[in-house]
Amino acid sequence: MFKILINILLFISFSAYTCPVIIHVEDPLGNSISDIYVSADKTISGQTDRNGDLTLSLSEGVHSIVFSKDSTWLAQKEIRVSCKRENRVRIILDTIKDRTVDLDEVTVKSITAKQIIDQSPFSVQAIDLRKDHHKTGDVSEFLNRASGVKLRSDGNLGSSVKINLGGLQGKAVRLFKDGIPIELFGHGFSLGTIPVNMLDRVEIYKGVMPLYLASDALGGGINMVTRTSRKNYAEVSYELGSFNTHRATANLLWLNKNNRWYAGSNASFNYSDNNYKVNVPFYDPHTSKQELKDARRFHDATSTYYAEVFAGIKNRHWVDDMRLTVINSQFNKEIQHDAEMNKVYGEAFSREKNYTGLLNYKKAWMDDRLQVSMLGSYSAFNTKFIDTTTARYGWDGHKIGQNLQPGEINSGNNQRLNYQFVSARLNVAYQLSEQHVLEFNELYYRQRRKGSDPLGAISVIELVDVLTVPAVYQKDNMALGLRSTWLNKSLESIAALKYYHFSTKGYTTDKYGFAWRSSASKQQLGYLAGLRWSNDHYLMKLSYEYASRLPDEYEIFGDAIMVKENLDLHPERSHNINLNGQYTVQKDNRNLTLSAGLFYRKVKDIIFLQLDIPFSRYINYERANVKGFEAEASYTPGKRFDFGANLTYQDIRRVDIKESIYKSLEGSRVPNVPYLFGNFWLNTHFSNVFSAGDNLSFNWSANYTHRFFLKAIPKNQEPSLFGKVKDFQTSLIIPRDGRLGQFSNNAGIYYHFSESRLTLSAECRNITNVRLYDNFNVQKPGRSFHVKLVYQIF
Amino acid sequence: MKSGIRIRSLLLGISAMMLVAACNKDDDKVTPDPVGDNLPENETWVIYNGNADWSGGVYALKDKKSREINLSGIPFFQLSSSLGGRVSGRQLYKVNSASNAQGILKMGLDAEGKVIEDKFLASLSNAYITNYLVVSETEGYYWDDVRGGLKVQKFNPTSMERTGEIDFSSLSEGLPNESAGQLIIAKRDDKLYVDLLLGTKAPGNWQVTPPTREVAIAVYDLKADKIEKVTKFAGTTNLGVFIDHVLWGIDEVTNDLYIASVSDMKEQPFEYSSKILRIKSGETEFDQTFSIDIKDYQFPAEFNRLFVHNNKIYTTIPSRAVSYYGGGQHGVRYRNDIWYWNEIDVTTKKAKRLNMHADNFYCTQNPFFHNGEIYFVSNNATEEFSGVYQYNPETGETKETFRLKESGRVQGFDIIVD
Repeated sequence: MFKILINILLFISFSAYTCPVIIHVEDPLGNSISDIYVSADKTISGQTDRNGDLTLSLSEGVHSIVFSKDSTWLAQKEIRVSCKRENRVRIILDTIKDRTVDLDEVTVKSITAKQIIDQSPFSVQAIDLRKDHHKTGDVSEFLNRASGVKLRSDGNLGSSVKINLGGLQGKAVRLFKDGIPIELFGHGFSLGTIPVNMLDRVEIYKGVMPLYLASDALGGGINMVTRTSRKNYAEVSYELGSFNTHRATANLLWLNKNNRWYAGSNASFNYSDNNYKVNVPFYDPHTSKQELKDARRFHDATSTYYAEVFAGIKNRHWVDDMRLTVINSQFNKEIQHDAEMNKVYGEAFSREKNYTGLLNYKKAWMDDRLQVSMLGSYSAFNTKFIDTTTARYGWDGHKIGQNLQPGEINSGNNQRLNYQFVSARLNVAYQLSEQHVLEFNELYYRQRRKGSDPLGAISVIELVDVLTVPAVYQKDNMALGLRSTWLNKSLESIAALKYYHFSTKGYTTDKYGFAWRSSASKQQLGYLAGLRWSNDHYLMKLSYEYASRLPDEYEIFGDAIMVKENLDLHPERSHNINLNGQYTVQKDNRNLTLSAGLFYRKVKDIIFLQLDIPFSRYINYERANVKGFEAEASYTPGKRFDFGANLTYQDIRRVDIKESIYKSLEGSRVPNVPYLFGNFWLNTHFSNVFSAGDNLSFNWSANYTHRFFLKAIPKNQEPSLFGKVKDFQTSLIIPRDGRLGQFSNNAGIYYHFSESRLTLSAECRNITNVRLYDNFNVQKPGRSFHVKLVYQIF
Repeated sequence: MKSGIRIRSLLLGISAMMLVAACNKDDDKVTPDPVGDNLPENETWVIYNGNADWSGGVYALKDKKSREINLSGIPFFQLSSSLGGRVSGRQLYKVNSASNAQGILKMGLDAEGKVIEDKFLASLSNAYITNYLVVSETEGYYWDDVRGGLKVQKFNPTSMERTGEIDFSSLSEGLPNESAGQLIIAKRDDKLYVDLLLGTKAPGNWQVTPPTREVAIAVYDLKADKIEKVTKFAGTTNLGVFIDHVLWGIDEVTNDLYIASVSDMKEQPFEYSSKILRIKSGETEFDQTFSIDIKDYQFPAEFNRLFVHNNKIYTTIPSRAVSYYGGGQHGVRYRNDIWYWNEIDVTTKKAKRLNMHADNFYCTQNPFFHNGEIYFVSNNATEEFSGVYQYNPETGETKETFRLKESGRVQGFDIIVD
């Protein structure tokens, strides 16, 4: 069947394909020129912005570009566009002296542009962060403002972040950095730690994943694209925030003059005491009577460090771009409480040191018709999880008990693990004709875990520390697809097949009470298709994927402490359908964009942690249907002002419950997932405020998350969306203080000095100091203040 | 055995109950009663139901009782871990709060008869180890390792406030893991009987291993306010297993105290197997002539439920060998439908399997005596049965009290009488 489908794909005919071309206009002194009217082939047009930039969506091939200002013709130039690369055109234009134009250069870079993403048939949203590099905080705060995305964390800086995307969450959503699975970079590079000025953009794939990521994502993925540039730059930033929070970044890129060598580095450092106030129970030492008081967190300090150094060669006859990257990162975190904030820990902590090497190779042959990209990586992680204290702590940080058994969290851990990861990826694209591109992608991933824990699990019979036995997990994902354009390039299609396979071997104590070295292997076939139609104002997309997520090593072998192995786990599977529409109208400086999306997921074999004592285990258990919609509107009435809002509703319900005794939960909402949330924002921009050439802007944003339940409620007893809880009494609800939802808002002011390369920012988050919860009882920070300096050295 | 207050009330009412039991002797029904038939109007059935993740609700059914109960639409109090508790008068008690914070939760019934949250006595511990005993409205005991493993805490079950402690520290032998009352706190005749466990907890094991393979009970004289003695029994280890439903029971008729040991559940040693032991009425020493050994019925296995009435022990015996730790002997998992309710005669030690579906141990509740009958909870996945049986010890007749319809597992059941 696989062969037949490949043949079908091969013989389908195609038409055209469009992609963005970034046009930058500047004067001979290098100053950007705004408000230049640019038209391509007398049809597609636009004006350059204050940075002198304009993005046009053009098909592959040669186009005639005309530049004019105030209806005056300035210049004309032909350019060649290739959609396999980012197309950037730099125009030097002297608008005063005469009307001549020089095409300085057409640069081609090996990253995928935001506009390519937006124009793909997938349900995808790209957040351009280039204009937000001066803002404080990490990338998770920007993601949380996107429609259809909900991020939840266990606290402040460094806490774990769980993503809900199109109704699916946790491991159903895969994360990438520049297309590489993020787990290869360690905790030092994660949603909760990466400052926004480390990234160019974030791509959010909702439900259907592009081929080049070649991953087993059930509910989509997020790809974080790190900063790059076509010219040398060096930038440093420092942020100081409440709770003794410090963030610093340093980014450097050097390109030699003939663009054949380059080198650079990206680095970030984060530290926070995370000692914000929480409302927690205190107990009378004699009566144990409980009283809620505010107390500062005392054992949640986090520090992270991430540094990558890279060097590459470009534009040789044997390579278009080859880059070697070496990464070192560390992640140190104190742990103050459990996932429900019921238990206090005063000494437990974790440490992680990671070393990664990456080698990228890109080359195009046959007039760019055959393009190959290869990646190889090796990572070594050393982790510690130490929980050996015999003391116990109260919420004020004082000891309330001593000389108890070691371990505040479970029964003690002195765990040291060594992980080794090997990963390789191959992307091949072959342009069959002007309209048709065949793509092949393969991802291989291997993980080996070995360690020890004198306080951890010991096998029943052999009395072996089970962590000393290596656990190996490997998977390979393959994808073959065809991209085509139709109807004079206004329609684009994609169809692909995916193949997933994993195998694992490790240690189990299952059956007969003996210790076994066991293994498991599973495979799964998937497929996807997508359509995109667009014209000047409208964009419509329809996509479908039969997606799979392979069980990972943790779900199969457990943690050897509380979670036992299950070698019979199958991949989670889901039918994902997305329908998206967008309407854009732009006139002069005004711009209105309305977009909406419908999504549907039919998920089965959801991997579920079956809780038990002394061991829990993961099983394939539930089925769920997800129906949802998201809508967003943004309006820019003029140069100085823009605002917008989005709203997401997702109806996630259990279906087809097999065990009759649980039928009362048929149709019930999957608990512990927010189902109604939205965002609002308002931005203003002013120039030449204090001096010529400076920029001042204000931002206000707000977030609303409707209440949601932590445990299942039978559908017939579920309160209406805005109704009171009547049929039952529960405290297992967020928020549990009677509010219908949580509303928080932030504000910021940003100033870019005219005569220097300095940008100064100040933000206040959670202005009204409301109590915010993401996970049960886990309180997030109240009002906080942040200032940030960004300095562009060159 | 249910709580101490139940013991007292049942002791006081034993004659009346026996009379009711005698009346039921003529009732020969062996099949479940039809809906609405013979449903006691003065009883409120308290049902803890559980979902696959152990969450659920506690329901109080007064007018909506039936032989087949669909809980959907009935008001409830939601629990993160819906494991059934104990009842004292119209008050309900369970281990841990609605959100599973460590401690003892007290619930009650409101004017409409719905279960509502009342007060919570927090444990300082981070672990699932808060064993407790409610004796009366004003007398209760619990164990909190942070306050001292060799101390039993006193509390007032009405105000749910700690009132003091009983110190067993003089019994210390300086071993790493020492406790008194961690899994057994029983009260009989103004004496407190607590398990004394002095040993070492090996990594990866949640049980403490004593240096000498024996069990010990410390007897505390509440009137004299002093430790009376420590009684030991060799040949088995580890008294008790779970704090939700403890492995001890007082025979209401003979006043004998029975305590079960589970032995080392990881090793399941043949020589030191799980046993049911006895301290006879009026005695404070183990009856060294008496033990019920799991090996005589099934092995490897252990006793994991215990109720005693009129010299009959009611417990479960698995149909096949089973191991809690190993995931199962011969592929049998601990929570398979293998746990058959049995009646064991304490004299002949002969076991009689009761006419009930085998249970799968998702509910750890012990049987209890009410109105002349003994009530048993059973969940059987194969038969899709989740319900309660009642057994008349005089007639040997078994009836199905009720079964849940599409409403989760029964993870606890109590009866409150008007």
